Amino acid sequence: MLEVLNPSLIRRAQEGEAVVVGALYERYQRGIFRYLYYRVGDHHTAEDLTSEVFLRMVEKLSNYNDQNLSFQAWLFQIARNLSIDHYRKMSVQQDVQLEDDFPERGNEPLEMVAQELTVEKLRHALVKLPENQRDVIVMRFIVGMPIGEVAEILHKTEDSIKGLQRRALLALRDTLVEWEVTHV
Amino acid sequence: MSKQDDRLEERLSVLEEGGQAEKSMVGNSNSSELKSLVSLAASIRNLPHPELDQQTIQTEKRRILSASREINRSKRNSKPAESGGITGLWLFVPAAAGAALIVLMVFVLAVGAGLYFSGPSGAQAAVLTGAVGVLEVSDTGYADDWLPVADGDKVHSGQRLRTGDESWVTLEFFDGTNVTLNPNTDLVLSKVSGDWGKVLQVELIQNGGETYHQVVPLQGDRSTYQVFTPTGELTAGIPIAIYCRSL
Repeated sequence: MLEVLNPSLIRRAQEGEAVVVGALYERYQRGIFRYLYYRVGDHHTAEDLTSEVFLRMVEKLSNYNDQNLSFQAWLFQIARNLSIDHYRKMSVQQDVQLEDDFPERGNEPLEMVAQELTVEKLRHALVKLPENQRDVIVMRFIVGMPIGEVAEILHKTEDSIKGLQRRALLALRDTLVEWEVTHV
Repeated sequence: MSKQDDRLEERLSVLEEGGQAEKSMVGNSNSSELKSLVSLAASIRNLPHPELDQQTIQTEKRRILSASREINRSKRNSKPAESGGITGLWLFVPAAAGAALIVLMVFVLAVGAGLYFSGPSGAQAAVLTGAVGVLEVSDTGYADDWLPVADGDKVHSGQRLRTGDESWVTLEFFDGTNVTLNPNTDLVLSKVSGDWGKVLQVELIQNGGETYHQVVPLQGDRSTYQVFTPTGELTAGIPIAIYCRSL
Protein backbone atom coordinates (compact mmCIF):
# COMPACT_ATOMS: atom_id res chain seq x y z
CA MET A 1 0.00 0.00 0.00
CA LEU A 2 1.34 3.39 -0.92
CA GLU A 3 1.33 5.86 1.89
CA VAL A 4 0.80 9.15 0.14
CA LEU A 5 -1.24 11.57 2.15
CA ASN A 6 -1.62 15.22 1.40
CA PRO A 7 -0.35 17.24 4.39
CA SER A 8 -3.32 19.56 3.94
CA LEU A 9 -5.63 16.68 4.80
CA ILE A 10 -3.85 16.18 8.10
CA ARG A 11 -3.96 19.90 8.84
CA ARG A 12 -7.69 19.92 8.22
CA ALA A 13 -8.16 16.88 10.45
CA GLN A 14 -6.12 18.70 13.10
CA GLU A 15 -8.55 21.61 12.80
CA GLY A 16 -11.37 19.15 13.48
CA GLU A 17 -12.89 18.90 10.00
CA ALA A 18 -15.23 15.95 10.51
CA VAL A 19 -15.29 14.70 6.95
CA VAL A 20 -11.49 14.41 6.89
CA VAL A 21 -11.31 12.73 10.31
CA GLY A 22 -13.92 10.25 9.05
CA ALA A 23 -11.96 9.63 5.87
CA LEU A 24 -8.78 8.95 7.87
CA TYR A 25 -10.66 6.39 9.93
CA GLU A 26 -12.05 4.68 6.84
CA ARG A 27 -8.67 4.66 5.19
CA TYR A 28 -6.71 3.12 8.04
CA GLN A 29 -9.21 1.05 10.07
CA ARG A 30 -8.68 -2.13 8.07
CA GLY A 31 -4.89 -2.15 8.41
CA ILE A 32 -4.96 -1.21 12.09
CA PHE A 33 -7.56 -3.86 12.89
CA ARG A 34 -5.64 -6.59 11.07
CA TYR A 35 -2.38 -5.59 12.71
CA LEU A 36 -3.99 -5.73 16.15
CA TYR A 37 -5.81 -8.97 15.38
CA TYR A 38 -2.55 -10.74 14.64
CA ARG A 39 -0.92 -9.20 17.70
CA VAL A 40 -3.62 -10.07 20.23
CA GLY A 41 -5.18 -13.08 18.50
CA ASP A 42 -8.76 -12.24 19.35
CA HIS A 43 -11.37 -10.51 17.19
CA HIS A 44 -13.19 -8.66 19.99
CA THR A 45 -10.04 -7.46 21.70
CA ALA A 46 -8.66 -6.30 18.36
CA GLU A 47 -11.94 -4.47 17.72
CA ASP A 48 -11.78 -2.70 21.10
CA LEU A 49 -8.14 -1.77 20.62
CA THR A 50 -8.82 -0.47 17.10
CA SER A 51 -11.47 1.80 18.53
CA GLU A 52 -9.01 2.97 21.18
CA VAL A 53 -6.35 3.69 18.54
CA PHE A 54 -8.62 6.07 16.66
CA LEU A 55 -9.82 7.78 19.82
CA ARG A 56 -6.17 8.35 20.70
CA MET A 57 -5.67 9.60 17.15
CA VAL A 58 -8.23 12.38 17.56
CA GLU A 59 -6.90 13.22 21.03
CA LYS A 60 -3.29 13.45 19.91
CA LEU A 61 -3.78 14.70 16.37
CA SER A 62 -2.81 18.25 17.27
CA ASN A 63 0.60 16.97 18.42
CA TYR A 64 1.28 15.07 15.21
CA ASN A 65 4.09 16.52 13.11
CA ASP A 66 4.52 15.16 9.60
CA GLN A 67 8.17 16.25 9.56
CA ASN A 68 9.10 13.51 12.01
CA LEU A 69 7.01 10.54 10.92
CA SER A 70 4.53 9.55 8.23
CA PHE A 71 0.92 9.59 9.39
CA GLN A 72 0.49 5.86 8.90
CA ALA A 73 3.66 5.12 10.87
CA TRP A 74 2.44 7.42 13.67
CA LEU A 75 -0.92 5.63 13.79
CA PHE A 76 0.68 2.18 13.87
CA GLN A 77 2.97 3.29 16.67
CA ILE A 78 -0.13 4.17 18.68
CA ALA A 79 -1.57 0.73 17.86
CA ARG A 80 1.65 -1.02 18.82
CA ASN A 81 1.91 0.84 22.14
CA LEU A 82 -1.71 0.08 22.99
CA SER A 83 -1.25 -3.61 22.29
CA ILE A 84 1.87 -3.64 24.48
CA ASP A 85 -0.17 -2.01 27.28
CA HIS A 86 -2.86 -4.63 26.70
CA TYR A 87 -0.36 -7.44 27.17
CA ARG A 88 0.94 -5.86 30.36
CA LYS A 89 -2.57 -5.90 31.77
CA MET A 90 -3.26 -9.42 30.61
CA SER A 91 -2.00 -12.67 31.95
CA VAL A 92 1.41 -13.53 30.56
CA GLN A 93 0.00 -16.94 29.70
CA GLN A 94 -1.76 -15.67 26.59
CA ASP A 95 0.94 -16.53 24.05
CA VAL A 96 1.61 -19.93 25.57
CA GLN A 97 -2.08 -20.69 25.51
CA LEU A 98 -2.35 -19.76 21.85
CA GLU A 99 0.49 -22.11 21.00
CA ASP A 100 -1.05 -24.89 22.99
CA ASP A 101 -4.34 -24.44 21.19
CA PHE A 102 -2.89 -25.71 17.96
CA PRO A 103 -3.50 -29.46 17.45
CA GLU A 104 -0.48 -31.54 18.32
CA ARG A 105 0.73 -33.87 15.63
CA GLY A 106 0.17 -36.74 18.02
CA ASN A 107 -3.54 -36.00 18.03
CA GLU A 108 -3.81 -36.08 14.26
CA PRO A 109 -4.80 -39.15 12.27
CA LEU A 110 -1.82 -41.22 11.19
CA GLU A 111 -2.42 -40.63 7.51
CA MET A 112 -2.53 -36.91 7.83
CA VAL A 113 -3.67 -35.06 4.74
CA ALA A 114 -1.64 -31.97 3.98
CA GLN A 115 -3.51 -28.94 5.27
CA GLU A 116 -3.86 -25.63 3.52
CA LEU A 117 -2.70 -22.39 5.05
CA THR A 118 -5.56 -20.54 6.73
CA VAL A 119 -5.83 -17.36 8.77
CA GLU A 120 -6.04 -19.41 11.97
CA LYS A 121 -2.97 -21.48 11.15
CA LEU A 122 -1.05 -18.39 10.17
CA ARG A 123 -2.01 -16.73 13.45
CA HIS A 124 -0.79 -19.72 15.43
CA ALA A 125 2.43 -19.88 13.44
CA LEU A 126 3.06 -16.16 13.96
CA VAL A 127 2.79 -16.61 17.71
CA LYS A 128 5.99 -18.68 17.54
CA LEU A 129 7.95 -15.78 16.04
CA PRO A 130 9.76 -13.12 18.06
CA GLU A 131 7.67 -9.94 18.35
CA ASN A 132 9.63 -7.86 15.84
CA GLN A 133 9.58 -10.60 13.22
CA ARG A 134 5.85 -11.05 13.70
CA ASP A 135 5.31 -7.30 13.28
CA VAL A 136 7.35 -7.26 10.09
CA ILE A 137 5.32 -10.11 8.55
CA VAL A 138 2.01 -8.53 9.48
CA MET A 139 2.94 -5.02 8.37
CA ARG A 140 4.60 -6.08 5.13
CA PHE A 141 2.30 -8.83 3.85
CA ILE A 142 -1.01 -8.38 5.64
CA VAL A 143 -1.22 -4.59 5.94
CA GLY A 144 0.87 -4.08 2.79
CA MET A 145 3.23 -1.47 4.17
CA PRO A 146 6.50 -0.49 2.47
CA ILE A 147 9.81 -1.38 4.14
CA GLY A 148 10.53 2.27 4.96
CA GLU A 149 7.44 2.72 7.07
CA VAL A 150 7.93 -0.57 8.90
CA ALA A 151 11.41 0.70 9.74
CA GLU A 152 9.93 3.96 11.06
CA ILE A 153 7.44 2.18 13.29
CA LEU A 154 9.93 -0.29 14.72
CA HIS A 155 12.70 2.34 15.04
CA LYS A 156 15.08 0.33 12.89
CA THR A 157 16.94 0.79 9.63
CA GLU A 158 15.51 -0.52 6.36
CA ASP A 159 18.40 -2.99 6.10
CA SER A 160 17.59 -4.31 9.51
CA ILE A 161 13.93 -4.77 8.51
CA LYS A 162 15.03 -6.67 5.39
CA GLY A 163 17.01 -9.03 7.61
CA LEU A 164 14.10 -9.48 10.02
CA GLN A 165 11.79 -10.08 7.07
CA ARG A 166 13.92 -12.90 5.68
CA ARG A 167 14.46 -14.55 9.05
CA ALA A 168 10.74 -14.31 9.81
CA LEU A 169 9.75 -15.91 6.51
CA LEU A 170 12.30 -18.69 7.00
CA ALA A 171 11.05 -19.41 10.54
CA LEU A 172 7.44 -19.29 9.40
CA ARG A 173 8.13 -21.62 6.52
CA ASP A 174 9.85 -24.11 8.85
CA THR A 175 6.93 -24.03 11.28
CA LEU A 176 4.43 -24.65 8.51
CA VAL A 177 6.53 -27.49 7.12
CA GLU A 178 6.65 -29.01 10.62
CA TRP A 179 2.85 -28.75 10.83
CA GLU A 180 2.52 -30.12 7.30
CA VAL A 181 0.68 -27.03 6.21
CA THR A 182 1.04 -26.29 2.53
CA HIS A 183 1.07 -22.89 0.90
CA VAL A 184 0.92 -22.44 -2.85
CA MET B 1 22.74 -7.15 6.01
CA SER B 2 23.24 -10.07 3.65
CA LYS B 3 22.82 -9.99 -0.09
CA GLN B 4 20.11 -12.60 0.33
CA ASP B 5 18.03 -10.11 2.32
CA ASP B 6 18.35 -7.66 -0.55
CA ARG B 7 17.55 -10.25 -3.19
CA LEU B 8 14.46 -11.35 -1.30
CA GLU B 9 13.29 -7.75 -0.98
CA GLU B 10 13.82 -7.22 -4.71
CA ARG B 11 11.65 -10.24 -5.51
CA LEU B 12 9.00 -9.14 -3.03
CA SER B 13 8.95 -5.70 -4.60
CA VAL B 14 8.29 -7.28 -7.99
CA LEU B 15 5.47 -9.24 -6.39
CA GLU B 16 4.00 -6.08 -4.81
CA GLU B 17 3.98 -4.40 -8.20
CA GLY B 18 1.92 -7.25 -9.58
CA GLY B 19 4.76 -9.06 -11.38
CA GLN B 20 5.69 -12.70 -11.24
CA ALA B 21 8.78 -12.76 -9.07
CA GLU B 22 9.25 -16.47 -9.50
CA LYS B 23 10.01 -16.17 -13.22
CA SER B 24 13.24 -14.26 -12.62
CA MET B 25 14.65 -16.83 -10.22
CA VAL B 26 15.24 -19.71 -12.59
CA GLY B 27 18.83 -20.95 -12.60
CA ASN B 28 19.93 -19.10 -9.50
CA SER B 29 21.60 -21.27 -6.84
CA ASN B 30 19.59 -19.56 -4.10
CA SER B 31 16.45 -19.50 -6.18
CA SER B 32 14.86 -22.46 -4.44
CA GLU B 33 14.90 -20.77 -1.05
CA LEU B 34 13.93 -17.43 -2.50
CA LYS B 35 11.13 -19.00 -4.43
CA SER B 36 9.67 -20.69 -1.36
CA LEU B 37 9.87 -17.47 0.68
CA VAL B 38 8.28 -15.35 -2.03
CA SER B 39 5.61 -17.99 -2.48
CA LEU B 40 4.91 -17.96 1.26
CA ALA B 41 4.69 -14.14 1.26
CA ALA B 42 2.24 -14.29 -1.64
CA SER B 43 0.14 -16.91 0.14
CA ILE B 44 0.00 -14.77 3.28
CA ARG B 45 -1.05 -11.75 1.22
CA ASN B 46 -3.82 -13.67 -0.49
CA LEU B 47 -5.46 -15.05 2.65
CA PRO B 48 -8.92 -13.68 3.54
CA HIS B 49 -7.68 -11.72 6.54
CA PRO B 50 -10.31 -10.68 9.09
CA GLU B 51 -11.83 -7.24 9.03
CA LEU B 52 -14.43 -5.20 10.84
CA ASP B 53 -18.01 -5.52 9.63
CA GLN B 54 -19.73 -2.50 8.10
CA GLN B 55 -22.01 -1.92 11.07
CA THR B 56 -19.07 -1.79 13.46
CA ILE B 57 -17.20 0.55 11.12
CA GLN B 58 -20.14 2.97 11.04
CA THR B 59 -20.67 2.81 14.81
CA GLU B 60 -16.99 3.38 15.49
CA LYS B 61 -16.80 6.19 13.01
CA ARG B 62 -19.68 7.91 14.74
CA ARG B 63 -17.91 7.55 18.10
CA ILE B 64 -14.67 8.95 16.71
CA LEU B 65 -16.34 11.91 15.03
CA SER B 66 -18.23 12.62 18.21
CA ALA B 67 -14.99 12.52 20.22
CA SER B 68 -13.32 14.76 17.66
CA ARG B 69 -16.13 17.33 17.93
CA GLU B 70 -15.97 17.20 21.72
CA ILE B 71 -12.22 17.79 21.72
CA ASN B 72 -12.52 20.73 19.33
CA ARG B 73 -15.38 22.20 21.34
CA SER B 74 -13.37 22.10 24.56
CA LYS B 75 -10.37 23.61 22.74
CA ARG B 76 -12.51 26.49 21.57
CA ASN B 77 -14.01 26.97 25.03
CA SER B 78 -10.60 27.00 26.68
CA LYS B 79 -9.55 30.03 24.62
CA PRO B 80 -9.81 33.22 26.70
CA ALA B 81 -12.99 35.12 25.91
CA GLU B 82 -12.54 38.54 24.38
CA SER B 83 -13.69 41.25 26.69
CA GLY B 84 -14.25 44.90 26.42
CA GLY B 85 -17.01 47.32 27.32
CA ILE B 86 -18.60 50.02 25.28
CA THR B 87 -19.31 52.25 28.17
CA GLY B 88 -19.83 55.90 27.55
CA LEU B 89 -20.32 55.50 23.82
CA TRP B 90 -23.08 58.13 23.81
CA LEU B 91 -20.42 60.75 24.52
CA PHE B 92 -18.96 60.09 21.10
CA VAL B 93 -21.98 60.28 18.81
CA PRO B 94 -20.24 62.16 15.99
CA ALA B 95 -17.36 59.71 16.07
CA ALA B 96 -19.84 56.82 16.08
CA ALA B 97 -21.62 58.21 13.03
CA GLY B 98 -18.29 58.48 11.20
CA ALA B 99 -17.40 54.99 12.23
CA ALA B 100 -20.77 53.72 11.02
CA LEU B 101 -20.13 55.30 7.63
CA ILE B 102 -16.73 53.65 7.43
CA VAL B 103 -18.25 50.32 8.44
CA LEU B 104 -20.87 50.70 5.71
CA MET B 105 -18.18 51.40 3.11
CA VAL B 106 -16.12 48.47 4.29
CA PHE B 107 -19.22 46.27 4.11
CA VAL B 108 -19.96 47.30 0.53
CA LEU B 109 -16.34 46.70 -0.45
CA ALA B 110 -16.32 43.35 1.36
CA VAL B 111 -19.45 42.18 -0.42
CA GLY B 112 -17.94 43.17 -3.75
CA ALA B 113 -14.65 41.53 -2.93
CA GLY B 114 -16.50 38.47 -1.62
CA LEU B 115 -18.36 38.14 -4.88
CA TYR B 116 -15.10 38.49 -6.76
CA PHE B 117 -13.04 36.15 -4.61
CA SER B 118 -15.76 33.49 -4.31
CA GLY B 119 -15.00 32.82 -7.95
CA PRO B 120 -17.25 32.25 -10.91
CA SER B 121 -20.80 31.05 -10.50
CA GLY B 122 -20.98 27.34 -9.74
CA ALA B 123 -17.30 26.97 -8.85
CA GLN B 124 -18.06 25.96 -5.26
CA ALA B 125 -20.24 22.98 -6.18
CA ALA B 126 -20.53 20.06 -8.56
CA VAL B 127 -23.78 19.30 -10.36
CA LEU B 128 -25.17 15.78 -10.62
CA THR B 129 -26.00 14.55 -14.10
CA GLY B 130 -26.84 11.20 -15.68
CA ALA B 131 -28.15 9.86 -12.40
CA VAL B 132 -29.29 6.24 -12.45
CA GLY B 133 -30.41 4.17 -9.46
CA VAL B 134 -29.83 4.89 -5.79
CA LEU B 135 -27.74 7.99 -5.04
CA GLU B 136 -27.33 9.41 -1.57
CA VAL B 137 -25.48 12.32 -0.04
CA SER B 138 -24.43 12.91 3.53
CA ASP B 139 -22.98 15.91 5.35
CA THR B 140 -21.48 13.78 8.09
CA GLY B 141 -21.13 10.29 6.69
CA TYR B 142 -23.23 8.84 9.51
CA ALA B 143 -25.11 5.66 8.66
CA ASP B 144 -28.49 7.30 9.29
CA ASP B 145 -27.70 10.63 7.72
CA TRP B 146 -28.01 9.80 4.03
CA LEU B 147 -30.43 11.73 1.86
CA PRO B 148 -31.44 10.81 -1.69
CA VAL B 149 -30.24 13.10 -4.47
CA ALA B 150 -31.08 13.31 -8.18
CA ASP B 151 -30.10 14.93 -11.46
CA GLY B 152 -29.51 18.66 -11.16
CA ASP B 153 -28.75 18.60 -7.41
CA LYS B 154 -25.54 20.22 -6.27
CA VAL B 155 -22.91 18.77 -3.95
CA HIS B 156 -20.40 20.89 -2.08
CA SER B 157 -17.12 20.64 -0.18
CA GLY B 158 -17.41 18.40 2.85
CA GLN B 159 -20.23 16.28 1.50
CA ARG B 160 -20.07 12.59 0.80
CA LEU B 161 -21.77 10.85 -2.09
CA ARG B 162 -22.45 7.18 -2.58
CA THR B 163 -24.04 5.04 -5.27
CA GLY B 164 -25.96 1.81 -4.69
CA ASP B 165 -26.10 -1.37 -6.75
CA GLU B 166 -26.67 -0.74 -10.47
CA SER B 167 -26.36 3.00 -9.86
CA TRP B 168 -24.31 5.61 -11.66
CA VAL B 169 -23.93 9.36 -11.56
CA THR B 170 -21.64 12.00 -13.03
CA LEU B 171 -20.45 15.07 -11.14
CA GLU B 172 -19.76 18.06 -13.33
CA PHE B 173 -17.50 20.85 -12.15
CA PHE B 174 -17.84 24.41 -13.41
CA ASP B 175 -15.06 24.16 -16.01
CA GLY B 176 -16.45 20.99 -17.60
CA THR B 177 -14.27 18.55 -15.69
CA ASN B 178 -16.34 15.56 -14.63
CA VAL B 179 -16.15 12.36 -12.63
CA THR B 180 -18.45 9.39 -13.06
CA LEU B 181 -19.20 7.15 -10.09
CA ASN B 182 -19.85 3.52 -10.90
CA PRO B 183 -22.07 1.28 -8.71
CA ASN B 184 -21.22 0.98 -5.01
CA THR B 185 -18.87 3.90 -4.96
CA ASP B 186 -18.26 6.08 -1.93
CA LEU B 187 -16.69 9.47 -2.57
CA VAL B 188 -15.97 12.40 -0.24
CA LEU B 189 -15.74 15.84 -1.84
CA SER B 190 -13.21 17.23 0.56
CA LYS B 191 -12.65 20.34 -1.57
CA VAL B 192 -14.63 21.83 -4.43
CA SER B 193 -13.54 25.31 -5.30
CA GLY B 194 -12.56 27.50 -8.20
CA ASP B 195 -11.61 30.96 -9.28
CA TRP B 196 -11.71 33.29 -12.23
CA GLY B 197 -9.62 32.20 -15.17
CA LYS B 198 -10.97 28.64 -15.04
CA VAL B 199 -8.97 27.80 -11.94
CA LEU B 200 -10.38 24.52 -10.61
CA GLN B 201 -9.49 23.16 -7.16
CA VAL B 202 -10.85 19.72 -6.44
CA GLU B 203 -9.86 17.20 -3.82
CA LEU B 204 -11.69 13.89 -3.60
CA ILE B 205 -11.32 10.99 -1.17
CA GLN B 206 -12.48 7.73 -2.65
CA ASN B 207 -13.36 5.31 0.13
CA GLY B 208 -14.51 2.59 -2.20
CA GLY B 209 -15.83 1.67 -5.62
CA GLU B 210 -14.82 2.88 -9.04
CA THR B 211 -14.62 6.33 -10.56
CA TYR B 212 -13.78 7.61 -14.01
CA HIS B 213 -12.35 11.11 -14.30
CA GLN B 214 -12.21 13.39 -17.31
CA VAL B 215 -10.21 16.45 -16.47
CA VAL B 216 -10.24 19.56 -18.63
CA PRO B 217 -6.71 21.00 -19.07
CA LEU B 218 -6.00 22.70 -15.76
CA GLN B 219 -5.30 26.44 -15.90
CA GLY B 220 -2.40 27.96 -13.99
CA ASP B 221 -0.40 26.86 -10.96
CA ARG B 222 -3.32 27.18 -8.58
CA SER B 223 -5.44 24.56 -10.32
CA THR B 224 -5.44 21.16 -8.69
CA TYR B 225 -7.34 17.94 -9.17
CA GLN B 226 -6.48 15.24 -6.67
CA VAL B 227 -8.03 11.90 -5.84
CA PHE B 228 -7.02 10.08 -2.68
CA THR B 229 -7.75 6.37 -2.50
CA PRO B 230 -6.92 3.74 0.12
CA THR B 231 -3.91 2.85 -2.01
CA GLY B 232 -2.53 6.25 -2.81
CA GLU B 233 -3.00 9.56 -4.53
CA LEU B 234 -3.67 10.44 -8.14
CA THR B 235 -3.05 13.94 -9.34
CA ALA B 236 -4.13 15.32 -12.68
CA GLY B 237 -2.29 18.39 -13.88
CA ILE B 238 -2.61 17.81 -17.62
CA PRO B 239 -5.48 16.79 -19.88
CA ILE B 240 -6.04 13.27 -18.73
CA ALA B 241 -8.65 10.69 -17.98
CA ILE B 242 -8.03 8.76 -14.78
CA TYR B 243 -9.54 5.42 -14.02
CA CYS B 244 -9.05 4.39 -10.45
CA ARG B 245 -10.24 1.42 -8.52
CA SER B 246 -10.08 1.52 -4.75
CA LEU B 247 -10.06 -1.51 -2.47
